[in-house]
Amino acid sequence: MNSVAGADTLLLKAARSEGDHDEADLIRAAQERPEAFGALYERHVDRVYRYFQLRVGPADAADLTQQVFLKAFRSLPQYKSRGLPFLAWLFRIARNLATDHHRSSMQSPGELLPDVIDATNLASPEEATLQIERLRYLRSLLRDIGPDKRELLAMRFAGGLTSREIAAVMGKSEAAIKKQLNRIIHTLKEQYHES
Amino acid sequence: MRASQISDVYPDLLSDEVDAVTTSLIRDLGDLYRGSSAPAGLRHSLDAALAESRHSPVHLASAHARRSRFGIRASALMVAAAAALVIGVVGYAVAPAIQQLLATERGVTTLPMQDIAQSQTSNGVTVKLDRAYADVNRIIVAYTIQVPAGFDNSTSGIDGKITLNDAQGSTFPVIEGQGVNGDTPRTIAGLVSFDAESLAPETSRLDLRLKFPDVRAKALQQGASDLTAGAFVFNFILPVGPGRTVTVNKSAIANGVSVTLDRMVVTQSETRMYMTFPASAGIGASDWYADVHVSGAGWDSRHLPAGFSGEMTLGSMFTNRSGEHITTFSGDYRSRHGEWTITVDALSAVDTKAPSNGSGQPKQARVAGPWTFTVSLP
Repeated sequence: MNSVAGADTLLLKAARSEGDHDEADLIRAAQERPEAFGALYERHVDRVYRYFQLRVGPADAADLTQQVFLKAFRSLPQYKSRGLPFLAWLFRIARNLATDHHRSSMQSPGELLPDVIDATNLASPEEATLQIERLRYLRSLLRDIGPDKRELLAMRFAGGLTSREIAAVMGKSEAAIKKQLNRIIHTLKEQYHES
Repeated sequence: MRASQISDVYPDLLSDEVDAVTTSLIRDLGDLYRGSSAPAGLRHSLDAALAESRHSPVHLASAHARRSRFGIRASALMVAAAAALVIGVVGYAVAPAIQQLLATERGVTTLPMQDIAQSQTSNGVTVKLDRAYADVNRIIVAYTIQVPAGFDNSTSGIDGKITLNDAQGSTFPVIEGQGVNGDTPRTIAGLVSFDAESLAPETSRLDLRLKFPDVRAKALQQGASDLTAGAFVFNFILPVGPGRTVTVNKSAIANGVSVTLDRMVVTQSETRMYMTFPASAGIGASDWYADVHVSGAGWDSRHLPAGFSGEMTLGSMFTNRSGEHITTFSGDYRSRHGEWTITVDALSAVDTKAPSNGSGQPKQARVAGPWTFTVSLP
């Protein structure tokens, strides 16, 4: 156990010291030195975790996030970019795991609806109250747009993937994803504007 | 988040003329989806697991995480192929794009693909049948489509199903299809697999006819007319790799459910298990599939085969015309002589025909195994 704890410290240290490097350099470094994987982990863990919170719920999100990074770590020596962004690669693994999870647990996939979190960073309580009301209304609008569209939003906003990265995950063109996202925004905007 | 920050973070969601409502909506979506960070405990436990893997290379090679499998139904795959899926990756010339595409299919890069290099142009659209492969399990074709300047490849493609027939007119069903962007916004490369189980075992050569029924290109400029290139038909000849069929015809029972492994067919591209089992839970037989792994002396299908990379296609699961459930394992297993243990871990179903259960998701069912079979590959 001691050696594991020591390695833990090493990984996190590597993450901090290499956090500013270009991602291709980080991948190359992690392929050459497994301890450098921590930097990639630090860079992307929150995005993957947030996505799983929406896909499978908070109870299983941590476990599946861990599985994504374990799989990525194990497959990293064989990873070659070939134009597929690393984050998109992680999300492909994540989507596959989420699908397997729903199959094996016989649970319905999550609603992909975010919870409204208190806006504590706003200047006044009144402002915070108004924002929470707006977000609740926005959440109610999301209920009506269908799970496929909600997954796109989850990847774009919770996962922080670009349209190009989502396209790579979904097996579609970047232009098609942009068009879908813009349609969703347009649909939401019409109702959001009326509010 | 200020408006300028929003345009930095979400440039793809904002047009040239940004209005306040859109900006406010995107800001609120960002806030709504902000969520919480991964718990610190997760970082610790993952790092511990990574460190353990790092210090135990043998354990790493026998990763207990299952290879995930794209359980794609044949019907869905036909739709997928018809839609000429494209992966949004740019920056590759057409030939490298095909290489990239082949690399995403496990084991395909090692197959002796035949150069076909037939191209046809109609109304400014060029379709090239680049290369192809066939054995008695699977026929694979790789193609490119180039549209003229002023048209967008992303919304171009094939309106209708790609079909592959032999000289007698028999149709090979589509198993799966995918694509990738080429070097410019005007090109795409595609890869389609067809089910070749109808071929007689002694087939050594095939006269084939590949048809793209209706290729179209969307105009980039709004209001401009789209382009219809029509059908493209390619006639070509392919050598057919042989297969080794092992007749099993054994049944096993678990949880009151009987599963019969009828046979397996081993070719260079993949190994197939043909199974039958009763459907239940009100879900049609074609929506059920078997989750299988195979192991032998010193190998296990759940481990990453040497030379394979990524987390892409690992095989297919579908139902054939006879109602048999087929699970495939990509890659060349022909040299794995001796005893194989074939384990059906579970039978799963996703109802693709019934309306959703109210949560927007299809009805699902699962029967846990295992059902175990022992087979010898001479």
